[in-house]
Formats: sequence, C-alpha cells, structure tokens
Amino acid sequence: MPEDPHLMPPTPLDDATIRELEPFLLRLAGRAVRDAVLARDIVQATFLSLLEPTSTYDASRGMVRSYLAGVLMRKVADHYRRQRRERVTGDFDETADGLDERVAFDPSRAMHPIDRSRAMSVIDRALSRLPDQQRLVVLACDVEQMDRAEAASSLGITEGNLRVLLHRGRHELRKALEDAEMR
Amino acid sequence: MLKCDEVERMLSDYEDGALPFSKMVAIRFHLMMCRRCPALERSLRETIDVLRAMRDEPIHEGVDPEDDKGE
Ligand SMILES: [Zn+2]
Repeated sequence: MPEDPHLMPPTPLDDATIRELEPFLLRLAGRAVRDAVLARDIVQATFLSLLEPTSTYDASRGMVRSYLAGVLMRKVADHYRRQRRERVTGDFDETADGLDERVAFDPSRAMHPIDRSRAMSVIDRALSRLPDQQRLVVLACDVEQMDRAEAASSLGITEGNLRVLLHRGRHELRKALEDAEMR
Repeated sequence: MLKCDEVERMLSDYEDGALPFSKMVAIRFHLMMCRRCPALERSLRETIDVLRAMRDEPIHEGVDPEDDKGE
C-alpha cells in the first residue's frame, strides 16, 4: 500500500472531531469488552468503517457520536459471537427466559444516598461484572441511550430478548447501588 | 389493582415508557397505593439516571483517584 495520503479516500470526519470523540468511544469500548487493547482495536475499526462506501452516517455532530456508538456496539457483539463460536459454548444468541422470577428487593433496608460520582464508580464496577449480554444491553440502552429497536439491531438480538436482558441487568446494578448505600 | 410482582416485572419497561398507556396508568396507581414498590421504583430510576450520566462524565487523563490513595 502506498503511504501517500493523497491516495487515501477523503476522511468524512475532521481530526478535531475524531480527537474529541475518541476518548468517549474508547471508554465505551473498554466498558463493553473490559480489555484496553481490544477496545483500541474496536475503536479504530469503528472510525475506519466511516470510510466504507456503505457508511450511512449523518454529518451533524451529535449524530456522529451516536452513529459511531451504534457501529461500535455492533462490532463488540460480533466480537463476542466470534469468541463464542471458537469456544463452542455459544449462548450469546440464546433467547433469554421470561421475567418470571422475582427481583431481589428489601424495602426495610435503610439507605443512605451516596453522591453521584461515588454512585457512578459503584455502578461502573458492577457493570463490569454483569454477564456479557446484559452488560452490552445496558451500555447500549442506558449509557448510550440508544432506542430499543436501534440497540437490538446493533447487538443482533430481538427486542423481546433485549427487554428481558435490560430488566435483569438494571436490577442487578440497582442491587449493587443499594448495597453501597447501606454502608 | 396490579400485584407487586406484576409491577416488578414491568418496572424496567415503565421507566422507559415502553408499555401501553393502560399499563403505565395502572403502575402509576399501584405506586401511589403500595408501601413497598415506590422505594424499588426510586432505586431503579436512580440506577438508570446514574447510567445515563456515565455517557458524558468527563474523562480525566491519568490514574483513577480511587486507586491513588497513597498520594
Ligand atoms: Zn407493590
């Protein structure tokens, strides 16, 4: 491959935008895969996807970030699917059960609200311990605030499956927050 | 009136407004009458609020202050 930059396809994003968005995408990828090296690869592949002729991103700035977050989550889901195929323990595509079990909640516990930044670090840590599918769904729907249809399509799961995973993941994190508030 | 376990199952959808109007109203009504579920609802909403805030939380270069207590 020639190194001459003039032979590269035109970059649809300016450098300043890439520099501004990269740390946020790196953090999202890191939360999703919990591996700094892999996160960097996924972010790079996400930016590169803008150069693909099939790229459909909108030029307005706010859109670029959510567009890229969607592409990134798709790449993360692909990564987990590939990993599962290799290990042949595949359950990423397995349909989740219904919502029949009760959620754990004890209304008699005395809560002492903690400040927002402490709550964030508690939840960030609890998020990293969630099962992969639940973690990705919570990241897409709650952290990145994608709508459910968009999140399900990025992750390659049904909306019914997403709904169950979101319910479970959120209640798991709620419990972690309550545990922290009890101390 | 809905039972507590029925409300529990729908609470995550309720927070997103992802239920039919009649269910949204029924849950709201339950939350006004029940002594247990409002605390659960508040706690779940707080969790979702924190998650949303994590998207744009400023990124600090360098070490996590939590791991840096020796300084
Ligand atoms: Zn109740």
